[in-house]
Amino acid sequence: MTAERAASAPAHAVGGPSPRVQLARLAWETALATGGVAAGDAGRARLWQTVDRGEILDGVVVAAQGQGDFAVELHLIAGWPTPPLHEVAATIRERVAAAAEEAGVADVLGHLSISFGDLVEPAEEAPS
Amino acid sequence: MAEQNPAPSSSGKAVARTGADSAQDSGPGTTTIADAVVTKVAGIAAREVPGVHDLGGGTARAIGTVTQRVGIGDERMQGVTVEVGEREAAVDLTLVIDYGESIPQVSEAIRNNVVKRVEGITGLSVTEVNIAVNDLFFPGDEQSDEESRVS
Repeated sequence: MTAERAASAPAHAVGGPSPRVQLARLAWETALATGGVAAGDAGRARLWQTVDRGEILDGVVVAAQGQGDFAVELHLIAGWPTPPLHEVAATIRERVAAAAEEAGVADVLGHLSISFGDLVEPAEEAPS
Repeated sequence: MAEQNPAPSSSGKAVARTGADSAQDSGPGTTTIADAVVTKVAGIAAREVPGVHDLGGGTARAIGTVTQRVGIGDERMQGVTVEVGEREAAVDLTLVIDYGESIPQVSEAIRNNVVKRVEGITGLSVTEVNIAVNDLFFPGDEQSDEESRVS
């Protein structure tokens, strides 16, 4: 981490979530609130998860990139009827950037990758 | 993502394979769509066409019934095979059509709907939709299965 970036990175609020967890929470909530997304996908080995104060957020992984910023991975399950998935991904990116700005963690938001691993119909139950 | 040799679909045409799910760079990040998503979209699109009774061959449907009962099968992927490249996809469908329907007309409608749905949802260009009509469904078929053997 460079000295400038380290200085500009938001400090861990005592008793509050770290910027990494804040990013995970806002990316996860934003994605699930976007049309065409049915659920987060924790993966078969349940590796794609983040824990926020005891709550497990399925389908989001946030990892430090070494430059003071964090890479965000969203693993999602699409819902039917499905809008164009690249448009869904673009909407999520815009909304996550806006939410990060509002939360004061935009400086540490790095690469955001979005993958759609499955698709479910309303009658089909999304894996939890 | 490095491109590998094209893989032929069932009709012999080639689709540029990436060896992984379809992925596109979207500026500050990548968007990946799994082959399973393309398969399900194609399967649902085929089922939307009137005249399509079921997807899958006789063996696939028999095995599918068992695997679905034990919770490891997915009806939406039965009878559908896709070859997905970085920008293109080829779809192979095996299906059962209701007796009396025009197979050429139903096939054309399936082809159009699969192309529309897959291209619209995934952004992939569909190079071909190969359809194999495996069986015909007669209305009496289901009743005879459910009839009691004793009065």
